[in-house]
Amino acid sequence: MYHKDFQEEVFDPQLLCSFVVAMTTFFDEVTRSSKPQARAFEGADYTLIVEFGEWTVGAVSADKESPRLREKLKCVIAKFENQFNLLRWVDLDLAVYTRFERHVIEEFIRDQIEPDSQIIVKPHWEFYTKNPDVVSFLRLVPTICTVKDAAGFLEMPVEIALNLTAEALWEKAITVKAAIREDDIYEATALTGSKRSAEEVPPEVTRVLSQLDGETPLTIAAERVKTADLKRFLRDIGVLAEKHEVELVSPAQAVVVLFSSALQELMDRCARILGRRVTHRMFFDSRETQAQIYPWLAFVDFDESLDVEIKSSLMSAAGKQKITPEILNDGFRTFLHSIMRNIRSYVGAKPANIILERTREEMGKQFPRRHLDIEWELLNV
Amino acid sequence: MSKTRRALPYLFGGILIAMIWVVLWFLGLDDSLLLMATFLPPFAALVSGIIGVAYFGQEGFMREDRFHMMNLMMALGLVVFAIAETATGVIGSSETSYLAIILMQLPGLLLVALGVASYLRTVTEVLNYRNDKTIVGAIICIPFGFSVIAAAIMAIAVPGALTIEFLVNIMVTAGIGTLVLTLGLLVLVFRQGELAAPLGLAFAAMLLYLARNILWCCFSITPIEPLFQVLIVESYILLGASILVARGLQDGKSGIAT
Repeated sequence: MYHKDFQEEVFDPQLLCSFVVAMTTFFDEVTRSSKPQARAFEGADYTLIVEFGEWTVGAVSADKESPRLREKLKCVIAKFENQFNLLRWVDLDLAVYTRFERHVIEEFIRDQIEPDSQIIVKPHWEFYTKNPDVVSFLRLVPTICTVKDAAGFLEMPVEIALNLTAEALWEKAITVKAAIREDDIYEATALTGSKRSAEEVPPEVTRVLSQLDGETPLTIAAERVKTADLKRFLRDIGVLAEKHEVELVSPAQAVVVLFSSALQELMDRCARILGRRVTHRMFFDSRETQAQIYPWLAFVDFDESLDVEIKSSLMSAAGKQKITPEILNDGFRTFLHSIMRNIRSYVGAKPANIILERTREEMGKQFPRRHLDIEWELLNV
Repeated sequence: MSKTRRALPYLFGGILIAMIWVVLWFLGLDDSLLLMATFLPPFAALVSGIIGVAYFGQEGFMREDRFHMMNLMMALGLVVFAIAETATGVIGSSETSYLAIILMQLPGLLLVALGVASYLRTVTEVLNYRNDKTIVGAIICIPFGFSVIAAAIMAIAVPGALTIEFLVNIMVTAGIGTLVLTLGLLVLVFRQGELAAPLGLAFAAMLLYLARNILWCCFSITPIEPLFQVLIVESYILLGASILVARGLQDGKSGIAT
């Protein structure tokens, strides 16, 4: 048996192992199936995802089930069966732990780390790790820095720094936080900011709390409070996030915000050329046809003053993950495309594409990275 | 498309008038021709203008909606033209009143030009064609340069031709030329879309207007010569048709691909 705790220990591995075997056998008995049937066991705040190889069973305990995690688990099982084929027939000590470690790091840890991720070295890291590479790496980097900074600091390629970070994380000598990006969307959980955080965070960041309404990317929020130093601003947001004063919105909500800003930009440009009435009618014509396929588009509204408005029911559904980002993405994309075709019928293909291009440029300013999530090439008419 | 068709009877009316005009001319019925030349221009301008104002005036001035503004300006311009044409009819009988006639037409022209110019500005802003300053520069420079050269040649070739009247006339012609170029550019930009229809009609209207002015200015044909009044009547009718088509675009449920 092979096991690994990524965070603090929750289950006794032996116990867990017996449980999984017992439960899967039980299910197979009950359903009289030759193929294993169990997929997951759920607790209040954890889910045990179970996958079967040819002769092994793999289980991962996570907050919630996701197709991506399952895919990774499958991959790890396949690698394990491949590498330790012999174990199927005889029970030998093949030094499974040390030899298999690398694959698990690669599957589960390495891809969480990006050049922008922040490394936070734990206070007594010397007790966690004995790996000489990691020790020399951690001895030299500052307590909090990004992987890219660390690589620059040690004058090594970023790729190696990433691998070393992964290993350090594996040894639990550090924690890694995803970087805060300028087009992330945060939502304030408290409007005034607690007294405790006010001591550490400059007042202008506390003021930004009212701007973080879950619909504004950080770039725009920073602009609204007239921040001079964006990097520092992002770091302050990081501090606030640490204290749970602000929270990252769900991916679905981020998609809604992204597309509604794109829609707004497009409609603004369109209204200036075609006039309000035409724009207004075009929006609702397109929505009507698309709503047959994506009923939730009925919650995207467009008022007399030409503001695109997302009804709160859609926003909260997206916030609560009731609707997946993929569906939202598809729906909004076909909606935008339908509008683009309408625009084309009025102004012709070339001006329509120019309007789209300008919209894309403007979105690039507001959402420096994420605007590429919209498949602009497909929207060309 | 259905609602833009409302402009069709209007256009047919225009063609009919032109045909009657030609027939009358062939038959040599100068009296009725003169009657038509006196009454039709203000009438055509007034009808076109009132149709436009009645529709686009409902919502008043909408500064941020340039397309709406352009059409409203054109409609108001047509109403002003109607007044000017009436006055032309009154004073037109005396021979030396060209300058007065031109000056009376100017406010109407200015209104139309303002509407078109503001629309051109937002279009270049949104579409960001290369450099909107060069475009604006070219649009203004070409007709003015052309007319200044024409005036210079005229002054050298025919001594005594360079009167104040002539200068004013050439300037106004240059201004109308600018307007025509602007509209032509807009039609070129939107040539594949439905927006080309109203813009194209307005372009044709201003082209006719320009033709009358050139005839007037270069060949010294009196503007109130009955035969050539047909140009101005058609011009007003076309401008009215343009406003009608624009109105159809605004509230028609056109059969657009979805």
